[in-house]
Amino acid sequence: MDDLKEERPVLHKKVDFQIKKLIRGNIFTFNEMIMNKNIYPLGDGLYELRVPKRAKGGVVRIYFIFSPWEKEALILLDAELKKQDSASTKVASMRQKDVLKSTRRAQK
Amino acid sequence: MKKFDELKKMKLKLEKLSEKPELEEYVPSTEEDALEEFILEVIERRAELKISQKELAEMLGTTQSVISRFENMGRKPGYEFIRRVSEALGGKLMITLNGDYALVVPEELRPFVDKKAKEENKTTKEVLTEIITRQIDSWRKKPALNTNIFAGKKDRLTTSNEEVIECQEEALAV
Repeated sequence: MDDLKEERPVLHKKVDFQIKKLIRGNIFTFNEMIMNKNIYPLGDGLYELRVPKRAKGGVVRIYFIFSPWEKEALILLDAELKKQDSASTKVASMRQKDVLKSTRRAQK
Repeated sequence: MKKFDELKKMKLKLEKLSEKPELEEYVPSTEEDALEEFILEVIERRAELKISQKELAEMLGTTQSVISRFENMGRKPGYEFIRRVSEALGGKLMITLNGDYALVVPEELRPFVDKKAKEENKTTKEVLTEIITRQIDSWRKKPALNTNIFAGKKDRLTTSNEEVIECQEEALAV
């Protein structure tokens, strides 16, 4: 995020605003963001926030999951600035697995 | 022929503009944090009341895309529009010069303030001004003892709603 702030301040501002929207809203506005295609469910509980929805200069994709510990809390797993269509969720999926592992450990 | 050349020039200009992704839509500068905060408040209130963008648009006699554009800072809203949005969501628009010194009482604490105002036959504003003045005055006079209204609570950064309410009640009881 710091790199983005330095190199693309306007885009950084947009990302910051979208994250604030996620934090200040609730499940109702979250579903609305899915309907408006600001958020894409990638399956297995992994979501992608895309800012802006489309742009020639690339979009920032933020990968996150719902916290298994706290109701309506989100865990941001990874972020990237991409120009291609497909999302690379390798790091995000790895971190998601880590979160699930630690949840299971805590349950035991 | 002249017209064709002009059109060609315009097309080139437009292409150059669209190469700059930052110009694709209106984005506020850091000086426009007040508008950003207002939009976030609208989203928060809509979320609480479970009012969709479409429903809000119907209340205002406009379309969902107008609300969506407004919430995504797609265009600068006018005073009349934000006043109507505030009223549709049961709020009251207030514009102030005081920036960070204009405080917002959390929703869950408002009934206590209203109760106090009713008991003392004062306006909400009067009660709040009194509470804040009294609290700041007490810090000023005894800085070592009263700098923190959460004093005595566990030493941690986050405080639960119950603790906040408890502290507010203590402050109101002073």
